[in-house]
Amino acid sequence: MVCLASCSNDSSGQEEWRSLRSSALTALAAVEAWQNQQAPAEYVERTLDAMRESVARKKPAPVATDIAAAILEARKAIAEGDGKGARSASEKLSRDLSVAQQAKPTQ
Amino acid sequence: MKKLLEISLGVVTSVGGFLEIGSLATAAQAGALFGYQLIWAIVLGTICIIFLVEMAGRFAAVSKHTIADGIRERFGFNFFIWPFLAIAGVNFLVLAAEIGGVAIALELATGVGFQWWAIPVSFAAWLLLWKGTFGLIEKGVSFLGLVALCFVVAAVVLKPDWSAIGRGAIPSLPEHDGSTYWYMVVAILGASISPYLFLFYSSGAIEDQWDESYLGVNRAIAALGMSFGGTISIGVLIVAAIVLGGQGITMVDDYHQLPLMLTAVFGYWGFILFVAALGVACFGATLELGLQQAYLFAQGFGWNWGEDLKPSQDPGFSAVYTVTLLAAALPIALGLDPLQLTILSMAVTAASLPLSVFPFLVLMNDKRYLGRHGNGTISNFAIIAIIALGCVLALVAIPLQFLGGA
Repeated sequence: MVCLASCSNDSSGQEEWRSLRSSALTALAAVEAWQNQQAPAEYVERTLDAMRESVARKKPAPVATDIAAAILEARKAIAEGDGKGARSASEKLSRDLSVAQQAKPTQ
Repeated sequence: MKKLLEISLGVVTSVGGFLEIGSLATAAQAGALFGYQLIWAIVLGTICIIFLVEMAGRFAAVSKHTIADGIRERFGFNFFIWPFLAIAGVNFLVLAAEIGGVAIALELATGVGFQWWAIPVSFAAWLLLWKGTFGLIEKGVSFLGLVALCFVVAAVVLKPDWSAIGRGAIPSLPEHDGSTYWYMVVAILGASISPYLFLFYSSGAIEDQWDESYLGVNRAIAALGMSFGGTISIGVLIVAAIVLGGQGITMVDDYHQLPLMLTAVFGYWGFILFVAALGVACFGATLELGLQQAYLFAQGFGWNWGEDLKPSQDPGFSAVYTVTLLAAALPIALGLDPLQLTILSMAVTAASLPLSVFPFLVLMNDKRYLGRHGNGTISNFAIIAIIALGCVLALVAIPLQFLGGA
């Protein structure tokens, strides 16, 4: 698993994009799991921390920064048990991801 | 009736012992990125391990030797030292990765970082080996490992496209990401064909005092047990393809992503099942690898050995698993990512296959050991194919690992 994809020689831009998108979508799935009471808050918070750290290392920096900020917002809302805040952060994350989608590299 | 019971127990043991962090991780990544397309790699790896495990059991039952013991006796110590070093190195890396797998499960369960769990996990494993019997370790933990069947249940519940799964079982060229695809094949095969599995099996056959009357039992356990084990890996791949791949999560590079595979199917119970499956499977593998390392040293150096002996009766054997378990916990305790370590251990496993398998092939054709039970044409062809596969794996996996800069 671990970086199996990134260990290979595919275009680095595509790899960066795939990794960024996967991290953002994982964050969305984790928030949804918390909202549906399918996973403990502590696990979801740790997942969001890990995904935020992963996204923050990605390029292009502005898009990644926005996504990381949205993940942090969701994480704070979950820590406070704020379902509404988590939903709002999750919607922002989806929007940021759509923006990133438009800017994604092509082969 | 007794034999039937032994087959059932053996199959359960094999199923419970098949899934560990390497096979779980590679199957999840393969499914997320390539859908069902890499099922064939799991099938091929499973066929290979069936042949190796059957040979290991046959060799032990007929010759009353373990593989390590046989290689040392047949080739002499000066030759034995090379496969010994390769296998001991691989065992150590895989053991560290498995301790990391249990530590991750405990982090998910408690919220306490995985590095804090490495030493306690290692101590718990040591205590079980010190106080427990072979039967307890072989069957007890493996029975608990059946919780991994939840991946098969999840795969069925998700109602996959069975015809697409059938197509995935046939080898095919990549539709995208070619180099990643082939690296994944290497990783899956490296995870499936672990030398410790068949070496441990031969030691277990001696511990259980198998003789020629067990050849049928051995064949059934190897075929059924490993097939069911492979089915669990395929279950993981299917669930990852539908749940993770279906959501667009195509790169699984963090262990926090893994529980989401089962929460999507079973809700909160999915989280609990995932933690239990990962923890128990990796703990079972930790025990087996700790024991296998002790078997390897004791059989290689001609010491007393046996999990059912008291530590005072086999001090060298007990000292090896004690030191190995402690040392293998250190990289994880120091914060090394268990999943990074898993990848490295799989590549090194692939590289070591020719060294462990080639002398085994010679033994399997030596009439002094096996008499009329030596390898037939099919077995020889299978094992030569495995050696060739091992060479290719070594040539491909290591450069990819280093050039890719994981």
